[in-house]
Amino acid sequence: MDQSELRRFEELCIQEEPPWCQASCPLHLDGRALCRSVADGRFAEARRTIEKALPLPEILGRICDAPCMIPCLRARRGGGIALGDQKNMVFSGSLIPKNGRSIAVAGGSLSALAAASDGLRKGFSVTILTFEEPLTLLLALSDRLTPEVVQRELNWLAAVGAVFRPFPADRALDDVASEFEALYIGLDAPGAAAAARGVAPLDPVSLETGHPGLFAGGDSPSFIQRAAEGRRGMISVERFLQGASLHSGREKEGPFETRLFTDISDVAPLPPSPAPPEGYDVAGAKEEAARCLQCQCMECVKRCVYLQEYRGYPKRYAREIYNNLAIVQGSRTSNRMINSCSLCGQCERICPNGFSMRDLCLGARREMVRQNRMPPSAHDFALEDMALSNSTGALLRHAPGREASSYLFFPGCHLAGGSPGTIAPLYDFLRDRIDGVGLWLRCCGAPARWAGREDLFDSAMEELKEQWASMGSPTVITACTGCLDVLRRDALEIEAVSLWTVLKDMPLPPHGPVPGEPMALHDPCTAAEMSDVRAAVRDICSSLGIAMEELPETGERTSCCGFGGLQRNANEPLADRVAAARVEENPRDYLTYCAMCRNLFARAGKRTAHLLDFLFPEAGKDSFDRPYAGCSRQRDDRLALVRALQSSHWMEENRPMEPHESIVLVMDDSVLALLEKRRIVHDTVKRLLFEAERTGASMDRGDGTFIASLRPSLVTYWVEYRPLGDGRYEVLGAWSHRMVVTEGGRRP
Amino acid sequence: MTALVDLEKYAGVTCTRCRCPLEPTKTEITYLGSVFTVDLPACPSCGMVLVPEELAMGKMLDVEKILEDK
Repeated sequence: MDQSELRRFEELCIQEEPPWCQASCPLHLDGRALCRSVADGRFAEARRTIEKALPLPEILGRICDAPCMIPCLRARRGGGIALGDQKNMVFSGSLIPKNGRSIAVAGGSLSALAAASDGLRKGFSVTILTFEEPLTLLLALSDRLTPEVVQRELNWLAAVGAVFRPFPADRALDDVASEFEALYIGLDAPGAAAAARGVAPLDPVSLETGHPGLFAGGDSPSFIQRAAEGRRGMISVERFLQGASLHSGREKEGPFETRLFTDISDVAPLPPSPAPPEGYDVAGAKEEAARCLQCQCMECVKRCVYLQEYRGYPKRYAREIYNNLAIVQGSRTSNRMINSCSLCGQCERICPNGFSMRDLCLGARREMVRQNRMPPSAHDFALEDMALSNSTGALLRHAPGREASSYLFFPGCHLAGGSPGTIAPLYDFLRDRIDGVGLWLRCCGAPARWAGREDLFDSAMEELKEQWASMGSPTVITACTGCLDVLRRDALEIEAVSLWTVLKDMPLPPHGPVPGEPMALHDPCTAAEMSDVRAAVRDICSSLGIAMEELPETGERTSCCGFGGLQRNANEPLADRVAAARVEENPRDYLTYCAMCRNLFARAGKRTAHLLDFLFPEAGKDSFDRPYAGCSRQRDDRLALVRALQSSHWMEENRPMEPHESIVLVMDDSVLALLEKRRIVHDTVKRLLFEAERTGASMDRGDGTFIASLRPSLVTYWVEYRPLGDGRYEVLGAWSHRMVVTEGGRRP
Repeated sequence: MTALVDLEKYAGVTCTRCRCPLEPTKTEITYLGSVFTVDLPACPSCGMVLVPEELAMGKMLDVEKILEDK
C-alpha cells in the first residue's frame, strides 16, 4: 500500500469529520466535546475546549449568537443544543513567547480584539490601536456582559503582552500602518470604520484591502462572525508575513458542510430546557448538554464485532495497517487484525461512502505474502484442507452412463463435509429433473484468495478452469454462494448459477413436515450481493410453508458467521464472539442456506437448520439435531463421500486405503475436544501412530503408554497413546508446535 | 529458554528403539530464522528429542507468535 492508496481509503471513512456544530461554527468550537464535558460535570475540560477555539472566550462565551444551533442534528429531534448558553467559564492568562514580529490591530471591539488575541497566541507583538474605549464598546454589545467580565478579558490581553494605544487622530491610516509589519482593522468599531473609509476588504477569503499588509473585516451583524473575521484577518497577517499565499487551502476556515453521517432515525425528540434569564446553573447546563447526540458515524462499527474488537474505526485501521506494512524492524502488531477480518463486505454496503475493510485487509494480506511476512500459522491449516479437497477429496464425473454434461453440480467443501448425507439425494433429484448433470466435488479456491495467496489461488483457478473445459464447458450449479462468488469474480468464462435459483423453478421434492413456529432467516454474507439468490430462497421457503422472520441486519446488510476470510483460522476467540453475537439477534430457531453458517451456529449452541435439511431430510433425523461438525469429521466425511459416490453412482473401485487409514482411534470426549481445539485431525494422528509403529521411534513411559511425533510439513505433532491391540489405539493427549527441533540432541 | 521443562518428570521415560532412559540434553530449536537452546529430554543413543506438551503449548507457542509478528 502506498501513501496515495492510504489517502484514498482514509478519504472514504468520515468518522473523523467534525460534527455539524463544529463545522458550522465560524470559529469551529467543538460543541460535541463541550457538551460531553459539561454533561459529565468536567467544567475545567469544557473551559479548555472553549479556550482552544475562541478568541476572547469570556466575551464570546456569553454573547455568541450560536449559528451552530441551526444545523445541530438535535434540532430535528426536539431543538438544537443551546451551546451559547453553556459557556460561563473562567479563564486565566499565560505567557506566550514572542517571535519578534510587530503588528497592530485597529478598533477596540470584537473583531480587532479577537484578531489581537489570535495574534498574541501566534507570538506577535500586538499593538491595539483604539478609537473608542474597548470597555464601552464591548459593554454596549449585550447586557450579558458585565464590566467585570469584559475587564477580565482586557486584562488577559494586556497580561499576555498586548499594548493598548489610542489611534493618533491627526494621522492617516496609511501613515500609522507603516509603523507596523501588518495591520488588521476591525470594522465593528465606529471609529475604526470611519478611519478606514475607502479601505474595504476586497476579498472575503483573505480580507485583503488593496494596500499590502492591510486587512479589514468584522462588518457583520453576527458577533461570532465578527470574531471569526478577526481570526481570518490574523491568519492573513501571518501568511503575509511569511510570504505565503493568502488564498490557498482556506476552504474550511469559515463554516462548511461536514461529511459526517449520523443516523438519528431511532432518536426520540427531546425539547431543550431553556436557560433562565440569569443563565444556567450547573444542573441546568448538564441537563442541556446531555441532550447532545454526540454525533458520530460508526455505522459499520456498530454492526461488526470485528470492527469493534480493535476499538477504532476504518480510517484509523487504514493508518494502522499502512504503518504495519511499512515496518522493517520491530513488531508488526496489526498482523492479527489484518487476518481477522471476515472479508464479508458488510461495512462497504453499510458505509455512506462504501469504505471496504475487505479491500483493505485483503490487499494487506497479499502484500504480507509478497513481503514474506505472513505469519505461517494464520492460514496453513485451511490451505492444507483446500489441498485435500482438491486431491483425495475431489471427484469430477459426467452423470452415470453419460459421456457429456450440460450442467455440473458443485456442492462445495462445506456441504460435502457438513452434511454429506444430503449430497446424493440432492444430486439424484437434479439428475431426475435436468438432463446431463455431472458432479464436481472440489474446493472453489476461496481459502487461497482469503489467505492472500495469489499464487495458490491462480493455480487452483487454472486447474478448475481446465477441468471445467474438459467436461465440455457446462453450466455450473453451486450449492454454496461462497463458491458462486468466487466463480463469478474470477472465472468469468464459466457460467455459474445458484442451486437456489435452479430449485425455485422446479416442482420441489416430496418433503417432510416443516416447523410450525417461524424461524429467523440468516442470509450468508456471500449472498449479500446476490439478490436473485436471496429472493429464490424466500420463494422456496414460502412454497414449503416455512414461516420466516428477518434478522435486524438482513439481505445485503447481512453479517458473517465467523468463517469468512478465514477469520476462524486467524482468531478463533473472535470468530466465536462473531457467531455468538449473530445467534443472539433473535430467540427463534435459525434457518440458513450456507453449510458453514449452519455448522458454526450449531457450534455456538443455536438450533439452526439448513434449507436442504427440509428439502432432503435424512430419515428419522431432526433437521436441527445435527451437531457441529469439527475439522476432522468434515475431512473424514468428505473423503467417505467420494468413496460412497464412486461406488453407488459410478460402480468404480475406490482408491485403495492407505495403510494408516485402517487404524482405529479410541478417545473420550475431552480428548476429542482437545484435538479439535488444537486443529489436530484424526488422519494425522493415525499417520503418526502408523509411522511410530513402523519405525519404532517412540518414547515408552513404562506404564503401557507411549509418546511419538510426526512432522508432515510445517507443524510437528505429538500424540500420547496406549496401544490396545488389533490396530486400535487409545489417544490420551496430543499437542503440536511449529518450531523445528534440530538434531542438536543427537550424539556424534 | 533453559530450564523450561521439569526434567524430573520425564526421568522414567525411555526410547522405545534404543531402550535408553531419556536424559536432559542441550537442544537447538529454530523458527523463522531465530535459534534458541533449551534443555530437553532426549535419547542419549539416537538423539530423539521429546518436546513436552507444557513447553509446546506454553512458552514455545508464545515465542512462535512473537516471531511471527516480527
